[in-house]
Amino acid sequence: MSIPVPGRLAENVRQAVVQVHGSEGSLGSGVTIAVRGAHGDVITNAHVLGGSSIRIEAWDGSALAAKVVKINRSRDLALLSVPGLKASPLPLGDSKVLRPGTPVFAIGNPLGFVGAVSSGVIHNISMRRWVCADVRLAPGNSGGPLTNFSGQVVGINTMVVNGGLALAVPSHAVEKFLKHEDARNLGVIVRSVKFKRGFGVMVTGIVAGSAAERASLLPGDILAAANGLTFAHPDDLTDAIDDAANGLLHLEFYRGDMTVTRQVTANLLARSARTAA
Amino acid sequence: MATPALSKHSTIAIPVTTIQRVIAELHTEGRIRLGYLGVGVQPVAIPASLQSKIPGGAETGLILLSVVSNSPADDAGLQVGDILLALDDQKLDDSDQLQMLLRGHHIGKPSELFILRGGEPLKLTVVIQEAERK
Repeated sequence: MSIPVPGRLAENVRQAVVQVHGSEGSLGSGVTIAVRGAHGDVITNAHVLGGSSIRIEAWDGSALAAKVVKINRSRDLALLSVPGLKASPLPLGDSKVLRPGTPVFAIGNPLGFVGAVSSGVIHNISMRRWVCADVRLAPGNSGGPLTNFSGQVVGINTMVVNGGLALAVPSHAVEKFLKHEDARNLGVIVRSVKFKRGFGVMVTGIVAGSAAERASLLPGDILAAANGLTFAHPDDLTDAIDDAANGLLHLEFYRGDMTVTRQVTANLLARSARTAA
Repeated sequence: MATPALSKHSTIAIPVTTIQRVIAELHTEGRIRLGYLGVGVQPVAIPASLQSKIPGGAETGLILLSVVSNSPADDAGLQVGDILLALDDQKLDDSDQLQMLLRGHHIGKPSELFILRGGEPLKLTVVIQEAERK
């Protein structure tokens, strides 16, 4: 009897999914991705790792040691190198073209059930930093792939919210994570505000020793644009930092009644924040 | 005064100072008046580089997240991003303190707000309105 096409697709995806055992007894999922810089390596959530001693179990039952190549805890992503892993990597899809109703699979190891499959649809596209899907996730799914029905990874399953909706890191964020050498930040605590000039991202705190402090940013400064991108969404500052070549930002902001422009180089995140201890 | 009305799970007592204040205001005004400024605020730490500009010093203030159009704050010229430091020389460290100061004798009279705007100290005059009763 031939396997129905969605079943065959799910089977292909299952063979690219691994169990990730963290050193503190944590269990999550991971997926091998076929993109330059990560071919054959495993993408997972940073929160799954929990330490430096990481073990992978592949779909064929092989157990292998893994090393952290790169980690971004704020984006909750980690890239693992797994020498000897035999798994067919999956292509990355385009999370920006997802629409509510797009059918998706979530594959992982929920509650220890290996290679379990759940399916559903994209629920909404209102959260730019997340893909929100109506699929069933449970502890153990974290780090596993959310795929479209073409078998492309459109997200990395990360958490459950609002009584059961799944949030996945979008594939475009995974692509950025793989492309950039190191994660950077500005060292500001911000919140979005609406004020007389429109929308802005207001600084409410400055981290000591940060790029923001070196650039003399102050609480109350309202960031309006960076590198020509006018902010219209709370995530625009984060995106601007991620996209800035060598972390160089040309910031435009309002300070009281003045409009100010300033060059600032976003800090590389500390080594301890990038690699597991 | 112990009261079960505020919590089902623990004993809550209203401080005697609150009772005295409320009784005094009921005697003089016949009602409890609440002030209205028209702002949304959040506590923030004042950077060390700015603390020396503030007479008497201040480690925290209240940053304005929103200003309601045509409110007393709007009329006084307050802007989103301003940091409130004191109202009539009384320091503002948290939003509860601001709520307390918006009561009673400040209502309807010019009050002096001491703020930071763009890192510079500034004084503004605001006339706090009485909040509408719901």
